[in-house]
Amino acid sequence: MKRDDSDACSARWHLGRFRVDTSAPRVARFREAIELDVAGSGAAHDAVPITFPICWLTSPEITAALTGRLRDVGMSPGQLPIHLQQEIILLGPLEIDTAYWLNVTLAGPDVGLKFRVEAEVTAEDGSEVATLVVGLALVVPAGRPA
Amino acid sequence: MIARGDRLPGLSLAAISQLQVERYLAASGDGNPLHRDASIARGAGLSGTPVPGMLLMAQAARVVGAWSGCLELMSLSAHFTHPLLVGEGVEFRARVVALEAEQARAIVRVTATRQEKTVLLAEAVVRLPPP
Repeated sequence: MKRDDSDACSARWHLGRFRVDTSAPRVARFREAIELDVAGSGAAHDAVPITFPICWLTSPEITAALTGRLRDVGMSPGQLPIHLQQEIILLGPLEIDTAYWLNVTLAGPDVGLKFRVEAEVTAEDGSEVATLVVGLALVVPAGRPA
Repeated sequence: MIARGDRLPGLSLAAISQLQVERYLAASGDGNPLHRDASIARGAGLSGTPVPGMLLMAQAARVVGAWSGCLELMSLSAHFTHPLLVGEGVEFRARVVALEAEQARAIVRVTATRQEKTVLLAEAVVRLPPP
């Protein structure tokens, strides 16, 4: 992983470029789980929900890259990430059954062991489609190794 | 005609169950044990397992989507300000806080509360139809 020290306040690491997609069955499961298809939701039944990209960030590859880097900077096995904030900016709607690239960077730590995961979503042709920003904090639940 | 100050229809969710949370965790791939294991949640100072913030954010998007119909949701940001625990209900309220005619967009603020305590504060940007 490449370290980029351009930000003097907190370090930044490029976690990788990952292939992701909006496969119709997975989108349908996600829509069902967030109860988007109930009457009166106003949503098109084949649309990709704006919060769907969070599914990409929980993929085993990205989770491994993120956890590995957090451990490198001092996260202990007992610590857990807590989701503090989330931002999703779309430059256009995400298309169903479409592959994208996700370019993921970790920045931090800031005060309170806070980190930012930033991900740029691009289409096959390289055009930018969306940006995701996740704010995390690390906590140690009592009874777990610090 | 959308105007600044317009209130959107709210959304009231009765007690969110562990089953709903499990369904969301499975669909989203979220493996954080905090949302499943009450002993870990208690160790983190909570009296029960917390509902994933992203599940609440999805409901905020649902509120905006139900109001705006076919209008395009351009962005959504959320701060998870206080944990909502499994078994607790939550109320979503939303209103238009700004109209930016030049950019043809409206800013909608969504607040999710549980007994006067804010659990989520979100802001959505919606593209307005051409005049």
